[in-house]
Amino acid sequence: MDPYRRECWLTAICFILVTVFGGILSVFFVVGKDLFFGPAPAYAAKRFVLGFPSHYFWLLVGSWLFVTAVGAFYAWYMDRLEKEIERGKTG
Amino acid sequence: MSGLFGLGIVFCVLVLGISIAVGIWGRRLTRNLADYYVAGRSVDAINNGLAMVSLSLSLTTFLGLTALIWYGFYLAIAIYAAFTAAFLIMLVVAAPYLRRHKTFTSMDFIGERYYSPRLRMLAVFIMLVVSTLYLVGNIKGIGIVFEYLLGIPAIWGVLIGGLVVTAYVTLGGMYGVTYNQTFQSIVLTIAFIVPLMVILKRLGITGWWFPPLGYGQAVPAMVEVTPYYFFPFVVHPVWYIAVFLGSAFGIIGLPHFVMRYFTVRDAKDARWSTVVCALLVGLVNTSAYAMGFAGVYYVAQTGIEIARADADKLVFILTQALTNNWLLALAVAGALAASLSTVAGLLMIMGTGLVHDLYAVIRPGMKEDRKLTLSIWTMFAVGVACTLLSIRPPEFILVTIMWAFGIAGASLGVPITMGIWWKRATREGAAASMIVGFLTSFVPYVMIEIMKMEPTAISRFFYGPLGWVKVIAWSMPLTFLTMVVVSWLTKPPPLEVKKQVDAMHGWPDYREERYHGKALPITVAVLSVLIMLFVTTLYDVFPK
Repeated sequence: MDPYRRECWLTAICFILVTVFGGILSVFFVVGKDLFFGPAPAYAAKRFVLGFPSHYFWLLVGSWLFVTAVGAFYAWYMDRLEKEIERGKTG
Repeated sequence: MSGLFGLGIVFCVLVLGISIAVGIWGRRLTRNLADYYVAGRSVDAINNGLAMVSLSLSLTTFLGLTALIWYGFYLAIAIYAAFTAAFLIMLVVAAPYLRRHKTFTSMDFIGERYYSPRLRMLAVFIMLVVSTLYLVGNIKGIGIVFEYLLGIPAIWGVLIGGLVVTAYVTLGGMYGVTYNQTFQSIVLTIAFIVPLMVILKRLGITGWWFPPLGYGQAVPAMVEVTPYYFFPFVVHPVWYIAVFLGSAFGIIGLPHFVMRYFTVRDAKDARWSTVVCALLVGLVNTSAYAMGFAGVYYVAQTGIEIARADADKLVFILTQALTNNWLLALAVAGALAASLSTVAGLLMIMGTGLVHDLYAVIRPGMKEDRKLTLSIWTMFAVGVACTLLSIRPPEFILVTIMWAFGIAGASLGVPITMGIWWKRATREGAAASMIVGFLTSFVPYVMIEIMKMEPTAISRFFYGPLGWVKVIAWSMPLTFLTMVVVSWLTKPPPLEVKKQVDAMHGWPDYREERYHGKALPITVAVLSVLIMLFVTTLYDVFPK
């Protein structure tokens, strides 16, 4: 794949990952509530990780460590791509 | 607190003194306009990352977030989760590309990319509105620090803090601001996390040594006293989408964040500084959740009543109750550092915008040394004006700043993003989107926050806690849609402008087919329509 397409695909994939895991994760907890919570009106959490309700834990980890890892991968890959472009591989 | 708090005053004087000293040192490094505006584009990734941390972690984190956690629990955490992730959105869609554009400010970028000095001036107007909203909340925080913790009337806090920050920004320009922000970032991170560790330990929590994920053992007891603490159902799914859109595009639209990227050496530094920033901002934000949790847990256990008007002071109430005076003084210094760094960044962009993007456009051909002198005096005048404006601040800090994010995202974030990724984005499309974005977000702000109208009187969908946030899920997609439709209906940009897009992405040559496809505008238009449908006709399908 040429550098131009790789840049666009990588950006799109990273954008989607950050949006889903960092931005709108809470929407899935609400829409898919049966996976995470017991019946209404109490909606007690079904699963726990390190003592936290799973939806809260995944929000903490997703919006911080996971998206930072995605960002680090993006930065590392774009550094390589930039060098390729400098060496004259145009897309 | 009653009476003067001597140790806190000593710590605060130290922070203020070091800030002015760094400003004076920054003055010695400043030789020309590029030094004054963007630190000679010489800042490395670590330094810029740290500077961005303190710019991001204003008093909204120190005071506003814990207040909101106390008041809104899970919703506050969702807001800050989106805010942390927003830096990575900035990384993948904007940061390195803006750096390659070689302009000084967002407004400069809009003027060049959309080949219109008038749009540049419109961008200055929008920047002044959002920066003022952002700024007055933060100067209010300095008043809180002085009044509640040091026993000095809030008005003195506003005046002293406002004038000190004005002094070092005016003196040191971007060099002074950058190295001050780096120093303040270290102070505020230590000042937030160390007292928190002690608080968690005093509450008997064994994971105190790693606050972000260490308080799980207290969850059952917390849920018993506050069953809805982790409850995500108090708002509709649209609310979370609105928060994400406001954070992601708000950060791209807020010119004081963008300006940091014009100071780094190259696109690589722009990328890695964002990664450094996201890692540390996430650490402090997740620690702030722990602080909020500890606060609610402590109040629930002891039954101590805290008035709603004191919500912004929760961190200090907790630190005072559970730690010693040294740590309380450290927390005070951290809060002061947090407020100074954000205020400095805002003054810098306001002063630069007024001279470089407004006056220099009206009076072209001004000599550089004249522009530099004018910038210094404008920076000073803006600082004094904003300090005086902050004497009558808004009620809740974070609410005002959330509005600033929404307004900036719609009116500046959208044209910046589309200008980077879509060659076909035109001057007319940008103008229409900026006007639509500004009106659809600023008018609701005036109606709700200034005219004090009930949000549900504007739309039945804006009910519930922070229900007005859903305004963003309407204004942002409408702005994107306007940009795509108007750009398509108008004459394509000139070749010289389209070349800017390839250059921003680092291409040494030009090819028409790059960033010119229909996939991006069609995807943006379809998603925008879907979100607007979600906000209106499909709204009742989902649980409320």
